[in-house]
This record gives sequence, C-alpha cells and structure tokens, in this order.
Amino acid sequence: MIDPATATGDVAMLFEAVTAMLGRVPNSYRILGHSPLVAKMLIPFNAVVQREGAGSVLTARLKEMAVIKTSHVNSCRY
Amino acid sequence: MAHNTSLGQAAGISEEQVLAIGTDDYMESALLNAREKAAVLWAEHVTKNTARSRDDVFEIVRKEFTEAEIIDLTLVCCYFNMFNRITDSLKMPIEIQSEVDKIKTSVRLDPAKVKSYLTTVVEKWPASFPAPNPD
Repeated sequence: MIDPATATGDVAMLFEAVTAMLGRVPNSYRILGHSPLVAKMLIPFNAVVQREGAGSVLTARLKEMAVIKTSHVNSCRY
Repeated sequence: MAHNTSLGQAAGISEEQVLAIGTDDYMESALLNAREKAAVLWAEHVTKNTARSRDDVFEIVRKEFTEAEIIDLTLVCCYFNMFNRITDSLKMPIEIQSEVDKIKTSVRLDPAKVKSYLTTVVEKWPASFPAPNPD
C-alpha cells in the first residue's frame, strides 16, 4: 500500500487528482495506485456510478441500498 | 460493507434498513418502499448471476425503473461485484472507522470536482507510456 506522502511521478498525480475529487485517498486507491496509469481511468467511473450529481439518474441513497446488498451477498467486509 | 454502510448512513439509510436489506425476506419488509425493494432484488440477482434467467425479477424491476435507471443500477451492482473481488483478493485492510467515515462527505458528487480530476489527468498526461513487461 502506497503512502500518499511519499508518492512520486504518476502515482503522485493520481493521488493529487483523487484528493481533489474525494478529499482523501482511501486504502483501496493506495493499493490500485501501484498501477497508476490504469487506476486513473477507473476512479472517475467509480465516483460517477456510485454517487449522485455528476450524471447518474439515481440517488446515492438508492444505489447504496443495492451496493449494501451486493457486498452482503458477497460477504465483503471492506 | 464497512464503507457502503457508512456512505449509506450519510445518504439517509437507517441501521434498521441496512439490517432489513441483509435478510432473505426484505421483499416483505415494511422499512423499504417498492422502488427500494426492486433495487435490492436486482442487486441480489445480478450478484448471484440469476438475473439472466429470472424474467419475473426483471418484470418487477421494469415496473419501478426507467431504462436509464436500470442501466445505472446494473452498472453500480456490477462495479461493486468487481470491487468486492478486488478488496477480498488483495486482502485490503479496512481503515479505522474515523477514516472510513470520511466517505460520508461525498454522497453528492460535485461535477466541477470530476472535471477538476479529469483536467489534472489530462494536463499531467505522461509524455510516454511504459511498454508492457515481457511475458
């Protein structure tokens, strides 16, 4: 897992962009950051598909209900 | 679950509703309306990959949602099936609760922030890309 404080190059760029959008760098992105040029394409999709207000026609509330069920069926703790 | 329960709370999902969603008889729950039940039903069947053979399930979903809504709902379910696999397979450590709860500020996404993200990515576009590692 990459510490944002010591990130350089493409990884630093990725974390800077993530922080600008989400206000933090969650563990999941600190791990995906090992492949920054791929992760950078995934992250905005994650944000738009899960949240509301940037294009999705569903509320974040309703989508979170679906995601809670998904994660429950998959027994995923994260 | 940790992150989505936290984000769900911020989005207005009660603890009782989270518990109801986790049961097998959520379709009978008084805590969820018809649209919410259909969303959870779709999530369950997409995740178990039974949606493809359950026309009765799709009929329930189609009564509650427009075509655009069904796409957004299906995409978010499928994205989290992928993401669940990533976090489990790579044994992603859950942050301490105070760190997890920072997700609560991001229920609503400011499109200007997405633009800012994409602008940063484009402005700092690499001059060259690495060749794939040899097989």
